[in-house]
Amino acid sequence: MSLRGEPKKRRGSAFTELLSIYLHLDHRLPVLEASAFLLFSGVLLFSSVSSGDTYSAFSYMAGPAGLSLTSLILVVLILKNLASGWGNDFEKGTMQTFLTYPLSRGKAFLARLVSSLLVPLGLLTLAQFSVVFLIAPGFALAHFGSLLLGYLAALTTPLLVAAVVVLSVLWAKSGGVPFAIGLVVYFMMLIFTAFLLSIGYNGGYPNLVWMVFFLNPVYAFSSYFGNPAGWGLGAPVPTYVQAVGLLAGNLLLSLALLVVGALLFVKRTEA
Amino acid sequence: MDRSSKATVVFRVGTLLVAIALAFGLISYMSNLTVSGYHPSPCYYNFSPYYFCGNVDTVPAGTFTVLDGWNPASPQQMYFFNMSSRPVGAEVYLLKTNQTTFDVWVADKSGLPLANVSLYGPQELVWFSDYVASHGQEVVGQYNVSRANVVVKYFVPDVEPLMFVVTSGNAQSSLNFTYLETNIGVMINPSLGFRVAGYLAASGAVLAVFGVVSRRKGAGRARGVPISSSASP
Repeated sequence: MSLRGEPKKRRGSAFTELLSIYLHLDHRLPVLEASAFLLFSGVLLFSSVSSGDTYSAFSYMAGPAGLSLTSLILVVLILKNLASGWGNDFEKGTMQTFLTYPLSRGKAFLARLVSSLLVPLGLLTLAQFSVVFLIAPGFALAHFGSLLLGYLAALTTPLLVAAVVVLSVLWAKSGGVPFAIGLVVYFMMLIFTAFLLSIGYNGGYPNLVWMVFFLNPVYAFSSYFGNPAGWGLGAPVPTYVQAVGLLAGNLLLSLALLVVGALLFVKRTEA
Repeated sequence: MDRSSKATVVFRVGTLLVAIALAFGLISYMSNLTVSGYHPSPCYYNFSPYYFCGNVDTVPAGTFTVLDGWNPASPQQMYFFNMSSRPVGAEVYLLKTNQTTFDVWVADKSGLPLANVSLYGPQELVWFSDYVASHGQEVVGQYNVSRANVVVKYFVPDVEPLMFVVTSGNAQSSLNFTYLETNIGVMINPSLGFRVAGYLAASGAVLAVFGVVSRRKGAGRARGVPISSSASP
């Protein structure tokens, strides 16, 4: 084997090894199972298909304003894994041990993200889509696009929370403060966007409405589907392309914040 | 990945499947409780905090749409209860309140039957148990009902144009149906849910046991102990 090939192989196994350590830390025996139980129960109990139209498919996944039990469970898992888990690694110094692995900083960050964020996301995806395909296969096939949009729209807030928590962990290098920040951001996103939307509709501030549409695309789609939560008349109604654009913009914002987090992680741990 | 890690992964996948099976089992059990606890009154769900009284709609005889092109062998009066706008998981009841004999089944848009009919429970509940995927190819599911206060119940499995078809050999003036619909919306058909829970639990248990056994074998080999004597946990 060539000398060039050897370190590559070792790097690959180091990534798997670090990932398995993170997976073990994040998802100890009852945690993953309890999460799966709650997510599947939540989907079965609280996600309803109210009728056979596309809005019903969208709201099945998104819930009202993106607020659903599954979304809350996802945020709790993200906060537990990223804020408490990762933040405590910084606080207690175990991060230094993880950084001794023959692995680039970017890949170490990726391993943490896969374990803390992508595994809960995968579980949520499995719960949402398997249940709807089980209870209403014809409906799910006919409205797969709307289901997917609803799913992505519901993910915007948890993903934004995850990105903010990553940045705040890197800033505070502890677990407690990022946990509080994440919790505040989550509830602010849900409660204050509703207030802002109300002000925007009733006070005649279309720009405010558009801002809320961007921050929480569930509102944009609700407005597009003709159910703008009962607020004012004459308010801006996005087209389908605009709503999808707002959703994509929001997801890109979260992605950009996570990339910034990765760069910060590399910079801070190499220093 | 070494043998022990693989065994751990298999074990965790197994426990994960068991946890999902528990969720399906619990919700199916709740659904089944609702079905078993049926009481024929407009507010029969008030014993449970989760379910609430559905819309109660008395449909007078003779006001239903007669399906075009239907040519029954005998001159029967037919009634159609359109379920196309019913939510998934809703349960549709048809209360027959007099002694008239009638046949009933669930049909698709063309009037072809979809499901078998079977008697359910001690309350003379007629339960269209399972959705039949092969539309129109199933045996005609007719149930000849001649008693009073018989309830026909159907668990709406999907958002599709479905209809109750009721036929009667007697004069329509003697027919009197009460149409009830619950707004449950988020249930799973108990039989389907229990089936899924069973499959998941069985496969999860097999994987978990397999994972434990191979981890013990791996531990025994690592210590240099023969597999047969590596019984310690």
